[in-house]
Amino acid sequence: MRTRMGKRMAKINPDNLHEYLSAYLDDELTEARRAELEHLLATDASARAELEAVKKTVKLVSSLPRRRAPAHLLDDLTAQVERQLLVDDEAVSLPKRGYRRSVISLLASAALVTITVGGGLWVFFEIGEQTTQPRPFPQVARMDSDEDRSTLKAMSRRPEPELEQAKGRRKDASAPDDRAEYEAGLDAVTEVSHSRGRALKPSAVDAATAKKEALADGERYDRSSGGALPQRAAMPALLKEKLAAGAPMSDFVRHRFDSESVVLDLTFSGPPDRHAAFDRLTTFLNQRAIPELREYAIMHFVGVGPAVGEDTKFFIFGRSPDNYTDPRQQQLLVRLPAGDVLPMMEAVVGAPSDRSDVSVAVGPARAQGRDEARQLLAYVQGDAWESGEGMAWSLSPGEAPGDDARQLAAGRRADVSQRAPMPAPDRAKRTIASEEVSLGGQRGAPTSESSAALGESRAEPPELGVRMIGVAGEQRPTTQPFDALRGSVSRPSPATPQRAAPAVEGVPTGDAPGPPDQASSLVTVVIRLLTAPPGETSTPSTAPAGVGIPARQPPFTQPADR
Amino acid sequence: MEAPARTIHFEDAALVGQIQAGDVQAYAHLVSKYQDKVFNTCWRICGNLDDAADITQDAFLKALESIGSFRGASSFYTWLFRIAVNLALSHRRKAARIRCETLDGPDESYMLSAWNQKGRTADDPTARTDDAEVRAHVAEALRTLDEQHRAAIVLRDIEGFDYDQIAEILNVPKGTVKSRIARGRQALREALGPYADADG
Repeated sequence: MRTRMGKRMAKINPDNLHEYLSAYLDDELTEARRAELEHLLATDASARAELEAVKKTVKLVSSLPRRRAPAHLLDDLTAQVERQLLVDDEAVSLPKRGYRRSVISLLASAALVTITVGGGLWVFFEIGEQTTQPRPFPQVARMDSDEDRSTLKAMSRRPEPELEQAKGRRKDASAPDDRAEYEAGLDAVTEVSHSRGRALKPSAVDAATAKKEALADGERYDRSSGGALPQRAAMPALLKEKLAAGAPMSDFVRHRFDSESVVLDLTFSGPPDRHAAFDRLTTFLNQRAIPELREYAIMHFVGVGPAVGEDTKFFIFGRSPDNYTDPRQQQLLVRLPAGDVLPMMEAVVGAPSDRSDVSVAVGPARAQGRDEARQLLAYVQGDAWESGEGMAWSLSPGEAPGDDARQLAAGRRADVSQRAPMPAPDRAKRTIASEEVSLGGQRGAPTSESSAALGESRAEPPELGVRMIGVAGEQRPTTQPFDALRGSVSRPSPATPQRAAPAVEGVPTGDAPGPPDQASSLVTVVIRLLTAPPGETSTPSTAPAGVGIPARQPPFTQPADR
Repeated sequence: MEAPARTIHFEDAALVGQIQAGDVQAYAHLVSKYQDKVFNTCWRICGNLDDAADITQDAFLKALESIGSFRGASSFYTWLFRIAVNLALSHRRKAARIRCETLDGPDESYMLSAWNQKGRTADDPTARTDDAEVRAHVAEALRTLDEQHRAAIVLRDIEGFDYDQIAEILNVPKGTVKSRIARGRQALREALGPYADADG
């Protein structure tokens, strides 16, 4: 018997083992083959393991969720058939595709009457998706191309009246061009969507039209209706502001979570750590009185209640592929008081021994590692963030924000070197963007053209160092690039009490930050929980910079794919 | 996994006869009966819900257009799926030249809805997100399969057709079906890595 079975076993070619196992699971083997395979399984542990793996694979696939067909499918079909019968007086025949589309379009248009905001927001997600796939990494208020850099430079070269205009204080002259550009871009995108063969939903087309009309009428987006994604809720106004600031049209269709000011990248060694961090994050958010918005946000993704706006706290889960492409990520959009950003980061990263990496971006400024991130976020809590006029204009104690901007608009060159003194001499210059932006630190030794443009004489730094300096060769500084990046930050009262910020390389020196000011402005934060690629392990963020952490990303460039 | 088609053959045949006689209600009955299955199959093959809805609609219209030529040599169920799968594969080939669709978007919502469910507590921080992540991986792995392997896997492991029915739907020999399913599963297993390990 053993001999006979041995001969049978020999018939099973190892190369075909998977096929036999697969068919065995599906009960599609002949009796003889089944007997052979069962004998092999009884004697060969590796074959048994292989069978279990195939079983597991089948189980995983068969457990994928199912969906019901759209509710209107049957109605659409029967309506078309009945009408065709009536009109053509023929046997049942296939309506033309275009006719079907028109029927769907009519139905969708009727539905659109009740979908005023959500549809409009959807189109922006859709437009972004149509134009950005494939995209290796989420775009978060980041300028990454030569064209963008050129735009930055062009913006900084604008004469003062244009600067005023860019700040949104003179709308009449800019509005027609902005609108035309916006409409042209939207039309182009819509056309692309159609030409790609995938039907842009009728509701989306109509929503786009409605949005264009709203923009043309200069109406504010209706935030009183529910279903509005916060940063999208202000989209028409935001578009105008961005256009006025000179941002390229591509920004509007490329960016998803754009207009966010703070980006937290938290990288963990594996999914378990990431999930634990996710739980800590949600716990934190629950404790911050945001949970009442949770259900709505999760259910709709695009809204958190009837009073969405820049004054609203919220958090929203991003989802792949609408907001990011890497399914290993989890991504949230959170709007909360500036003072809560640092505690949130601390809560999420866990104990210092946790194997996590932290990277923070605030506008163009970046910090790597926990310590640096803490310092940068502590700075975020400070006055510079809350000034409302850009970091450069709020660093001088005792001066109301906006003074510099007004001086600049009036044609007076702001002496930034005095208003935003350099930090301590031993702090190395940290150039954020060598040609555009520098955060503090090169007292007495300006090495770039841009710093030279600010003047050679610099006061001894009392405490503050973050500032914007002009583009190389320019005669004046500008906040425009930063404004374009920092996005929607609520503008608090200039009377906000000043707090000194701690030191970080190139970031202001000073005392440790005070407790979070709940009355401070709300900031929008993108939190990306990442898993380190296989073969790379995160190191505790207390490790020296550059050890076990991703290389620093230059500003305005796409981060390396993780 | 049970093959669902054979027990409904006679009822379908009656409905088909009524449709051929011009009974629109019978057609509505058949659409109502199979729309979810057809829609899911199209979704898993083409990878996009909107496209799946369009393809499902097209499939039923095409079936209606051709119902006069349906002679009952096979079940209406497999005949309908043959139309739908062909449309979905055709669409996918076209779509592949335009853009890459994904399956994981809708599935991601499970992570969120799971989190939203009451009862998520600190002592169970990862279970639901684990499930969602696994689903996302499985959907992504399925998406990356060769289209023929993918169609076979969808029909077998998601819709539960047997090999004979799949051969009929795909219009290929049964041996080919067996091979495609085996290779598709093997590719899935490799793509899923530790998720598919028996002890994973």
